[in-house]
Amino acid sequence: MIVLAGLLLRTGGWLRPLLVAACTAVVTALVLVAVAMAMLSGRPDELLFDVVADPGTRGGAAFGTVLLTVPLALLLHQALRLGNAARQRRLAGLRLAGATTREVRLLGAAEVAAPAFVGAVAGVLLFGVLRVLLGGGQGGAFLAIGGTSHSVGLVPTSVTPPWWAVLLVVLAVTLVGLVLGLRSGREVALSPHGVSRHQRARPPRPWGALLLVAAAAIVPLAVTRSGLVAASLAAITLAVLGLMTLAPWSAYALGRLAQKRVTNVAGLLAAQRLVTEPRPAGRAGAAVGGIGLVAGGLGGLFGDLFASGTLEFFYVFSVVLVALCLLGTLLVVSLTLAVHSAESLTDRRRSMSSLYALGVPAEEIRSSQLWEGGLVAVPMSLFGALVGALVMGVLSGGGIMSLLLAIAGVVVTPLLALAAVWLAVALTAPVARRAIDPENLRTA
Amino acid sequence: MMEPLLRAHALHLAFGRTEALRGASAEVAPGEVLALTGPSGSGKSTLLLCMAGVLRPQAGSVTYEGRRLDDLSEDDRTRLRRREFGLVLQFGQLVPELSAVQNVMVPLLLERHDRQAARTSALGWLDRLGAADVADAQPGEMSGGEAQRVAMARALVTGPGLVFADEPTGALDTVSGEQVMEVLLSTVRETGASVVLVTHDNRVAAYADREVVLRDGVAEGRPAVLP
Repeated sequence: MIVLAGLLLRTGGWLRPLLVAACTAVVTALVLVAVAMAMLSGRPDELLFDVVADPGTRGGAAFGTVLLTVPLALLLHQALRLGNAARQRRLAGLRLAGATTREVRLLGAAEVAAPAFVGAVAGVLLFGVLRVLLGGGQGGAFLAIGGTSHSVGLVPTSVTPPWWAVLLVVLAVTLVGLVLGLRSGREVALSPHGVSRHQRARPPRPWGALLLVAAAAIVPLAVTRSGLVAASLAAITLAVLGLMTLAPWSAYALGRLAQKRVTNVAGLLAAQRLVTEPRPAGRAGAAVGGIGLVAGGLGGLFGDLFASGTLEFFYVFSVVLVALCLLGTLLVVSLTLAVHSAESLTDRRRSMSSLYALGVPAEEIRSSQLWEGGLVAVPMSLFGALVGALVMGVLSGGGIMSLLLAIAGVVVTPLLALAAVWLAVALTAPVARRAIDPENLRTA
Repeated sequence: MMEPLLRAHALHLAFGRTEALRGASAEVAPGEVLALTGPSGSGKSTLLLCMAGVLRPQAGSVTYEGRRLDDLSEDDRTRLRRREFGLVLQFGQLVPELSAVQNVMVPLLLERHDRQAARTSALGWLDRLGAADVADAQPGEMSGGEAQRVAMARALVTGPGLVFADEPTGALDTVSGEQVMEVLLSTVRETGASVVLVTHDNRVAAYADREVVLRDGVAEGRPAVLP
């Protein structure tokens, strides 16, 4: 079995394991950074940026660091589906060669667990690199502005996570990868005479709305000084979970709506895709919704700071830091959409090339990708930004500047989401070209 | 009367509203080559897959050397297929990422054979079936005939007593089809294995010792082994 698992790993292509390993590496490094932050007590003896150094805000910084792993987990989930059709044919071939369902499941698990584990171990090294680049010790990260040097160290170096904590994180991240990997093949049955799809899953349901309602219910608690931190964190967690679980339903509902309203070929193709497979676009939608949520709030916060005249380095750098994290997350979302698009186009290459052969222009087929991403990403990011701006408006008590910058956040976020979708479409242009090749009609 | 090696009796199997088998029966004797023929949709492939233990009939029984296949669990049937049966399908269905020799090694590696021994054995079978030239080629680089020879090597590498072949020449031209059939039958004659063959081609059916014709999920002709 081990020999066979090794053989399949070596011959199964490099892109999927590479993406899986990259995701688990970054997730491990981020979790270790959060662990290191949590290990600090009081004000540390090293020059860290105040958000990390101050015991009052450190918990939020650690929490925010962990939240950054969510879009990476979504990318990991999507990456695990990369080459799924070929992988399923491979595993069905093994069933024909005599592998039992359990052996096939084990081989499939090994295909995911090995790169996930390698990535998680590499993540420990990445954590070491981050300690050097963004550490707070002597020779750490500093920024000189107007003759004053400010520490922007974000990774504590005065504490080191113990070996067992590192091991635990590595194993936990590997396990998450493994569980996601095992889930990614559950929609099909592999038998010796091929791959058969289980009965189509029921359309997603809007249960996530309940979590959003719960998050909204907690916001008034967060306004009171005593419950500020705990209630805010609970509200954010519920809002993120709510967006993630509501997003597939939103994608499905938007697809249904577009089916009735849209009249162009690209839009109709995209709407049909959203209705039949709402989850991948929904996952990306959840991430941009989350980005919108934070961006909307950030706009409001920045406006509030501007209006109150407290534009000190601490606040400005904090806002810049969050904005950078949002852009990084948007890039991850773009990659997630690109991976989904590539997979979806490859799966549908026969129907795509037949559309092309029937006279549908290549440009129309490419713009259907843009529609598919945009139909979900734009409304979700707009919704997230509106909620974020509203919540921040409640927390800060409003103000004209706060309102204006919140509106700016609400306007800019959907545009950025659209840019992320456009980037994903651009990244998959070579796959789209191959998908409409008339040769597919003969061979695919 | 000769005791059959495998007996399928009164099999029923429906896929939704479509009744693929409606009481079909067939037997195969040791060393016999049995052809299952009939028009498209008559249930011949379904009967073969039930006899091979790939599909489980909803009614009826499949007995192999005194054991009821339909009573075995999915995993037990898979292990039985791996050790005692060989299975060849129309398009070979090789693992696309593995080379020919690696494909043939798979059943042996699943049986925990030593890697080197598995490779030697696989190369031997490829040579025997005239596919040694493509040992390191991947399925996408092979012709249909070569891929089918590799699939046969994979089916025969564990020394099965019974080989099931579902339209083994269906995707091949006439010359390649004849070559594949001759290689398959000369090899099983040497090993003494039985063959159950599904085909709609009379020329392929002519290679068989006996023919069972299926029509609308029921076997016509002589489903049982004669004395």
